[in-house]
Amino acid sequence: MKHTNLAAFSLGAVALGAFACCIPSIDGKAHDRTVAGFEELHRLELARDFELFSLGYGLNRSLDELRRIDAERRPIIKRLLTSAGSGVNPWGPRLELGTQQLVEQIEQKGVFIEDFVTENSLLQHALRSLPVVTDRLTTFEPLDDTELEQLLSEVESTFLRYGLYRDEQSRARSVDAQAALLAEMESLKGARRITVDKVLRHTNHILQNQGPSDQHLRELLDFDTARLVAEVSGSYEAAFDAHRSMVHQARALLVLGALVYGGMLLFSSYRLHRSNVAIEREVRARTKELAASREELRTLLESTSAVPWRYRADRSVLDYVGPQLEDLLGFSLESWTEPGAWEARILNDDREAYGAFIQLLENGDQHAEEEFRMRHADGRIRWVRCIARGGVDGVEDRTFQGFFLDVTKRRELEGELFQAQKLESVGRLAAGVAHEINTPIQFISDNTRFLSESFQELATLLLEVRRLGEEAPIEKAEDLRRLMEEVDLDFLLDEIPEALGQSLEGMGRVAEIVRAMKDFSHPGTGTPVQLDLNRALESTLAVSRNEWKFLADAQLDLEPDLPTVECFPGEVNQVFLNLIVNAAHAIGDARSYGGKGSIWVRTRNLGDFARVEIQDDGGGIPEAIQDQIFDPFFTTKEVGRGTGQGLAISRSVIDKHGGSMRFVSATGIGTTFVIELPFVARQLSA
Amino acid sequence: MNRENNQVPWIGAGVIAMITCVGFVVMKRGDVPTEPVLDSHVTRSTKAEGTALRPIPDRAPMDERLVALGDRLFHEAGFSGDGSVSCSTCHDLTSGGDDGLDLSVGVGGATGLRNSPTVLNCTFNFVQFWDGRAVTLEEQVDGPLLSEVEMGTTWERVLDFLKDEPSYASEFRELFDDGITAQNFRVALATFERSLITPDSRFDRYLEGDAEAITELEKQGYHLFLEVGCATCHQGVNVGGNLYQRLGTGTVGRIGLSDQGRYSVTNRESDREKFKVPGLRNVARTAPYFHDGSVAELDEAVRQMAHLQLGISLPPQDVEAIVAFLHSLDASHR
Repeated sequence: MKHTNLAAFSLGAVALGAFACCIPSIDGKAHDRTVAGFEELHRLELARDFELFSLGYGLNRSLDELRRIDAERRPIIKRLLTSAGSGVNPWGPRLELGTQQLVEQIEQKGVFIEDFVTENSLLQHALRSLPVVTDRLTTFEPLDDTELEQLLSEVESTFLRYGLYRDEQSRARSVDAQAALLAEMESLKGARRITVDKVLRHTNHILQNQGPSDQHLRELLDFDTARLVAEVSGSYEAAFDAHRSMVHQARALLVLGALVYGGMLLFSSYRLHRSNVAIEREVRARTKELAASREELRTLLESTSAVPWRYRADRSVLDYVGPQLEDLLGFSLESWTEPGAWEARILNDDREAYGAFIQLLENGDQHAEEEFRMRHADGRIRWVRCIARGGVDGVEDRTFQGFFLDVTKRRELEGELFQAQKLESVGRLAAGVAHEINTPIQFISDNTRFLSESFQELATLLLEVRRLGEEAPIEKAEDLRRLMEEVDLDFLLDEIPEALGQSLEGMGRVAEIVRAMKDFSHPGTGTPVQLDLNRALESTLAVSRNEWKFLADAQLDLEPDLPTVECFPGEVNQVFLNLIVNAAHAIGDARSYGGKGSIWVRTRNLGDFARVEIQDDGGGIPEAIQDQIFDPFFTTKEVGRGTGQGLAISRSVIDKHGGSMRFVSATGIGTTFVIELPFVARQLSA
Repeated sequence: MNRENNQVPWIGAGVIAMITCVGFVVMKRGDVPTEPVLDSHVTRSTKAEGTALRPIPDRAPMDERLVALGDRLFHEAGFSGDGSVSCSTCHDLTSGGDDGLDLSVGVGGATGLRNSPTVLNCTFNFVQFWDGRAVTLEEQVDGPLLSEVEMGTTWERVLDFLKDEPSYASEFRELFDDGITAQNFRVALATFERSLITPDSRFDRYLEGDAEAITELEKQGYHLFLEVGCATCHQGVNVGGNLYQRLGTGTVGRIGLSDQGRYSVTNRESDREKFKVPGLRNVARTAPYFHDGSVAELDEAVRQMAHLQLGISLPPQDVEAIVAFLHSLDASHR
């Protein structure tokens, strides 16, 4: 939804709410109380008027009822005034004033009533006393005066009538009756006169007060507070009805507004729903794309030889490894996720480096690289390069991720290169040395040969000298004979030629070695050359003679006229040297108690291939490790004696030349390595 | 996510339904009819008809804790001007609800201007004081309390005294949300005073049908009371106490009082020398008589009243009978 829509809806809700708050309430209870109060007041005013009427006509002899009405009115008026003053709807200043005026009127009437009550009680006393007094006069003192009796009776009846009718005719007759009695009284004396006087006082009081009292009562009854109550009550109810209808209209408007608002809300929610559906569709499509691209990425990630992994240092667990790891190191993927699996598969010698590597990451280094030797499931050893990143955003603490790279091949090549470079320099040195030795040996040899040949002639001369000496006179030859005996000429003549012969033989051998060295260390040219394998083998045996001469005898069985093989002679010689040295070592290990073994070196022509066999009668290779001997860095030799590279490099050299290398071995009998090299190499490069 | 989306129209519909409901409820509110509330502390007695005198009705039910608190306040002298005068000083409940003096003695020995009326059955008086200057008992409280010649105190003093007394504080707190206030003081005291009624007098029992409850003389006195005209003013439950009457109506001309009565309250000429007609319940025990306490004996008071108000001289036997009747109005307030 747009922001403007949202704002409009909020505004609408606020407006509706504000409107709802502005609608005044209807206090039904208060209204009912007020109406009841007015009704009660009205009833009480009517009751008060009735009571006044009763009192005025002497129908009620007690004022308690009037007082009860007064007492009952008091709290009602108090409540009404409180309500009127509250200002709560529908009360307003006009209504309040009206109510206050009404109350004032009612109270004013109360004041007038008190006057009426006071006067009326006396009037009623007179009215009631009149028959009592006349009765007394006639009952307790029997009258012999019939005229007086008649007059009293007349007074009693006329005043009774007047008290009932209260009209002018009755009054006139009462006045006449009183006047007659007054006239009669003049003739009376004593107690009778006093009693008649009492009667006249009552009649006087009645005649004087009945009229004003009636007038008073009429005024009070005309003071129609009940009607006033009804009027005020009516205007109150009218105001209330107006208020209520206003409130009802406002509420209807509110409901209408709410309905319109709700409709808008419904419409908006429908549109929102529609747009949500569209968005959802879009999101699904995008999610699919994303998943596909993720899948691509994953495939890419898991299809290269770089094996991704994630390591959780807190639990020492690789919680994710790429599936290629199974190919790389043989172990099942599940086995990698066991705690400590990684460390356990690192060669003991490299555990320290591994520890340092992990520590580096733990210390917060963002990047670490290290190479370890790790054991393959089949026991072989692989060089694995670990490239790791730590402290990556969005990844938990102590969680590192990176790649495993199989660098075994590179390590091998590096080893080979190193070896080759070593051999190269050794070869160059050896060639130099051989060259330097060759020249002196040449002239030493020539001189010795010359000495040997010269001594033949010298010996002839010396034999002639000895013969002459034996024939010459003793004195003259005595010195000569003694000299000859002293130098033991016979011995010299026997031994010197022998010594010279031996020297010549030794020098021949030196010359031979020098030549072999020159051949063996044929400086690498970077291009393949034609190599006479027989001669190469002889040279190799010669240069390694020191390695085997005390352990074994070399038995050569070389195919004559073996064609030359196209190869890198330095590397191939190295292979032969390795095998011969290994054979010598094998014999040495097997025959530590003494005695000599044999090393057989054979060559054969197989048509396209030349076969070279190097056999020993040493202890043989145990079957358990036969699979591993070509592995790089695999060695059975003590530290320092072998690098573990020999056979691996040898195999790679032969592979490079397009040949093959295998072996046959039997424990206790010996081992035969068989190498087959093509006479013509294909695509051979350094 | 899909499920939530489907709810949107329902939520909308719910909002509309809710608003509509609220609207209708709001419209309906205030139209609930309720019954009118009417409370009056005056019990509706049997309809007043021809009979002038009527028995005291049963006491209206009231909060007895309030009565007890009022009782305690009624007897408390501590908050008066000099700490010596309580309500009960002048309205001794053990002797007719007044003090037996012609003019009462307030703080510092000061005397008032009028005779103390009895507090018994005061609830049946239509107004309070001789001149009716208080309409209700609550209004009446301030009169004697603040009068310099009666209790001579101030509201401040009264309330401070009560607040310093923990038991008062707790009693007020128990009965009123706002604790100790002047109005609550008035309510408590007035409630107690309303409880001071004396039903079941011998005369009342007679009125209720027990013909033997009063003696022949008393019956004779009762009939004289009606016949002579005493009951013209002394009528109703309280045998008076429900109208003002001028003193001296029976005589020709004025008797000339120094006390102008109700006139001093209203300043209306017609109210001159008018006094509230006192109720005659327990009248035998509330001597001396009249607003100034000028008459000590009841028979003299009866005689004077007959002369002053009715203009007659009652023979001694009639006075005796009426006095006997008046005695039958005696009753205890508990």
